[in-house]
Amino acid sequence: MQKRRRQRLQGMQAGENQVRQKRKQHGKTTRRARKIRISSGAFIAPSFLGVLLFFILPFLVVIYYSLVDNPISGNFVFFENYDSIIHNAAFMRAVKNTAVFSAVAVPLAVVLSLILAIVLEAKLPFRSQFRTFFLSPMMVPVASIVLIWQVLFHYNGAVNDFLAVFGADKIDWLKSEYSQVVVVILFLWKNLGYNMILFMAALASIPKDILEVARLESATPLQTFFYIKIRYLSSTLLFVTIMSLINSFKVFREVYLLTGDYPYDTIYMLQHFMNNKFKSIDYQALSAAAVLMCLVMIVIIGLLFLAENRFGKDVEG
Amino acid sequence: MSFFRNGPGRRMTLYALCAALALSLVSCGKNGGKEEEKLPEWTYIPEFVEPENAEDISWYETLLAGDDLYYYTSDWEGEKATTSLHRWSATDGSASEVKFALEEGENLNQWCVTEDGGVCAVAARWNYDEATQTSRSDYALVKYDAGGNQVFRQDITSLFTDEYAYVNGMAVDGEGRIYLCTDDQVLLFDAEGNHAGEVKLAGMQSYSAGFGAGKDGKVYLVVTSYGDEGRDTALSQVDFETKSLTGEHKGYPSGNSAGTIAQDENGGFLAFDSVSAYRYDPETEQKEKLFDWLDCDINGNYVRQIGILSDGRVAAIYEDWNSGDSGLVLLTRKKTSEVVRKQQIVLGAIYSNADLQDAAVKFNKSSDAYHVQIRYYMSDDSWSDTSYEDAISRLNNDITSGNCPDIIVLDGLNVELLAAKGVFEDLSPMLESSEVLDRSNMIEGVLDAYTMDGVLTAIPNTVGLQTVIGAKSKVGDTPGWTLEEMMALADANPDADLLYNSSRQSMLTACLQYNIDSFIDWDSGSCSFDGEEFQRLLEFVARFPDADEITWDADAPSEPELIQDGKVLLTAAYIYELDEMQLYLAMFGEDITAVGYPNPDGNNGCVLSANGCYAIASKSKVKDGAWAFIESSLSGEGENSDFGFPNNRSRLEQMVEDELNVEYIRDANGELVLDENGDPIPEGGSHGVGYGNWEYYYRIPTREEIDMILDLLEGAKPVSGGDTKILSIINEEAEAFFQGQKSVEDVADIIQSRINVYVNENR
Repeated sequence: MQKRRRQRLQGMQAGENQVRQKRKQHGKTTRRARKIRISSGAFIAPSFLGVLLFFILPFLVVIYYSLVDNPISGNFVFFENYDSIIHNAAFMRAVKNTAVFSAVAVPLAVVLSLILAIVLEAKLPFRSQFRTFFLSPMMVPVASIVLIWQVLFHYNGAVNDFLAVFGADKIDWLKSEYSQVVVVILFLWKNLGYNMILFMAALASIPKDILEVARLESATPLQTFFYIKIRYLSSTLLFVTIMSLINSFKVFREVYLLTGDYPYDTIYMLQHFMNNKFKSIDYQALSAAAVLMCLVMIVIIGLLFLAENRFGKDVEG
Repeated sequence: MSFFRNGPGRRMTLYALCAALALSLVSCGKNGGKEEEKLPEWTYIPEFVEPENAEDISWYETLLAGDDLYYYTSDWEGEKATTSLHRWSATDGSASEVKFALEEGENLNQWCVTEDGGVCAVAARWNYDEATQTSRSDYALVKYDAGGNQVFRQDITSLFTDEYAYVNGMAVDGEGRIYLCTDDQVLLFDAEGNHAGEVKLAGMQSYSAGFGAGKDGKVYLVVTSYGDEGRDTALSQVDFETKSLTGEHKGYPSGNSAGTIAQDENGGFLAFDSVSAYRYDPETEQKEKLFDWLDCDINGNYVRQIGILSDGRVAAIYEDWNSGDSGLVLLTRKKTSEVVRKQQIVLGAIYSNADLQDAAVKFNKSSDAYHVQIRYYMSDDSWSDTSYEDAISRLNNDITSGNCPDIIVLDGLNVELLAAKGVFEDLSPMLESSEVLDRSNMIEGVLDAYTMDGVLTAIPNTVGLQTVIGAKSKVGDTPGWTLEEMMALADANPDADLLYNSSRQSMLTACLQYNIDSFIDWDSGSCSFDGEEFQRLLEFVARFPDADEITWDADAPSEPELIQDGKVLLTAAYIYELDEMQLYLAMFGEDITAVGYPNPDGNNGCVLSANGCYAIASKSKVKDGAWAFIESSLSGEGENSDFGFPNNRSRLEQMVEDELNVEYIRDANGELVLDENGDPIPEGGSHGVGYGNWEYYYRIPTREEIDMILDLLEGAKPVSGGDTKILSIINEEAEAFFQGQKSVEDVADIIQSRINVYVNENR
């Protein structure tokens, strides 16, 4: 009995020693982990400070401007600026035009570039020349783009001259209901090449063995595309859609150079509104519009991420 | 590589990155508000000196050479002049004189001094041939020694083939060789005055902007040329041997230094413009600003020449042709830290102008506590198509970033826009409590024009008027009319032009500048530019020629002749003097009405243009000083160089009295002296104006004529700044209709669409 008691005591002591050792090791691990976290944070700090300084703080300043009456006196007026711009007919017109443009141009940019990528993926002759052809608009300077578009779509431009050959009346492309069409064409011309390259890279990265298995299993090309390729392309699709959405706002630069700060009302975009407000030191309206636009973008991109998560999760590593 | 993966290496990398980030942030940080104007290292202290016999000096004819100021006086006996060249030393005050005689009928065209104390000059004689009714100038190159004895005389008339040739500069190099600069060449002469050749300049795209001899005995030429890349100013040496320009150095300050050259002991050059003085180093082709004229209490627009004395001081000749305040100033360089500085007030202006500097100099001299410095947003040095927009952007950035000027000159600004943002301080309380200014003595209509949303933004110093005048028999006797009435007048007189040489563009502006609001409902944001009324206006304006089609024809009848023949119905009048109305009465030959620009409100349609409009920034920290400056500019002490009618009833009434109560010239017996028409001659003479073959000489105005102007003054309004954007959209789109490319309906629709956006955005 004493022997069993001694054995039990020894066991308890051994257990205690084990616990003590584990605690010691755990303490060491915790301290080490903390050290790693601190040094990692310090290494990230420069980037984080840069993001803070050039993105987060300016955004907070924008929110501040959206809540004051003007940048000179700085009196707090709550949400009056938001209320004012929501009831501003020019702002609502700009929102509508921007939404319509994005709703038409972005899907077209994604779908057309995907089709081009698939077509160019096939072993066609002059494939690299076609690729260069679609990529070259990206290298053209803005001033040249504006010049080209003016030559083409001016009231006395090349397109109207071409239409006149067939007896059609002249169309005022940039100052009529057709102006949105011109801007969509401009956007697609500029961005198809870039999107196409991204899709081509993504298509090339799809595992060949899965495609081979599908072919062996008698899957049709359409089935292969929708059930396999699209799922593998889901992250690229998300990226291309987001980039196209961002680039759809950047088309303002060419539109502004073509038509000035107060264009025909069908191509009066949100950026026109904001640019004009900046020029007239109406920072409060500009900031309120920017914040509203940011909220809408967050929702759209959030939805896109959800969609990507749903359709692409089974192909992620 | 393992070093950077392990502890010490990683830590060192971390510290280096943090240091780099911290260093990059060091330059950030403001002084919690307005950025202090950067103080220069050196300050130049002015000393205004008076040479001997200063009252005899014609400062236009002075010259700085070395330490000496040279000027000449002429004593005429008939057609012959004895010229005295006076020398006064700026360092020791010594003076001397050289007398020399020109030939009969000659006067000095250009002159310079030689190293031996003599004079080299171009003497000109103007000859008029009665038989052929032509004139010609004869030129001679003459040299006199220090005793006034003629060394040589050479007739150089044949060297000037162009009848309009003009010698605009003269220099003598270290070897006594003479150089004459004209618009297109530099003529070279040896030390005996013999013609030795010429150096041709590059043609019409360039002109001489400075010419003279340097301290190194060489002669230099500054040429400003205009090419595809804009304006370029370069310094070159005129090489006598090779007959060419050599050693071109670009980047020379482009203010034209009044056409002079000033070289220092170290081979650098002093140059200046209306704002600052610079030192240019030809080796590095860089310029360094030395000082602003304003900091030396000098209006840079009046500086004629600059030079460096042997004791290092800078000498400058200035001539204020408005006030007659002219003379020589010596500037001594001192460390800024050793100089007691007054509190700085920053005055921001888009454009530079001499009146602004006048006001600042006057204030700086009179104030012990404050010093105004001017910040120009548009540079005279470089100009492009976007200079104005860039200047407005810079001003807007300064306003919103806390670097706002204390005083803002309103010329060229959209005053309503800035006032709506609360940029301007309300001057009413300051005006009410001022001991210098009296609101009741100001023209209330002028103050109302600059009161926005109850805030008095500025108090103009002087104002001018622009209106449209027509015969009473045609336009009625009441000032003010509508667009329809004006178009009806044109329709009723199809063989006559509405205005002289009026283009579509000017007619569109004239018709719309006060009528835009009749097409816009700012409350609801709706526009009616697609309606029949606006389309009719466009069709009306389309009758007029394009601005490019209007060419000046010297043989065509003048405007008054056309008016009197009934071929022109109205005239655009610019009124800045109380005696202007009589001109228009004489033009029309019958009673007139200042009917004004058409407008829907029934007011007199007279445009008010204001001068000397200064506003105080609401964020200024020196409002007291800023107000003191405005009081100084409005108080009327000393000469007022601003053009137009004073915004001061007492001064205006005095002007009226001075106009009406004129003294006439009388002979020794007190009898009136009459002119060739039998009219008495007013003291101070009379003035006239000519339009081609039609001339008019002003008489004393009547009280009724003056009252017409005073009535216009009460009701005049400035043109709204916001309307200029709408006008520019209309002008831009209407062009397609005027060129016959689009129908009036299509153009009206486009204008409606674009302006609708503008209106709703700014409502």
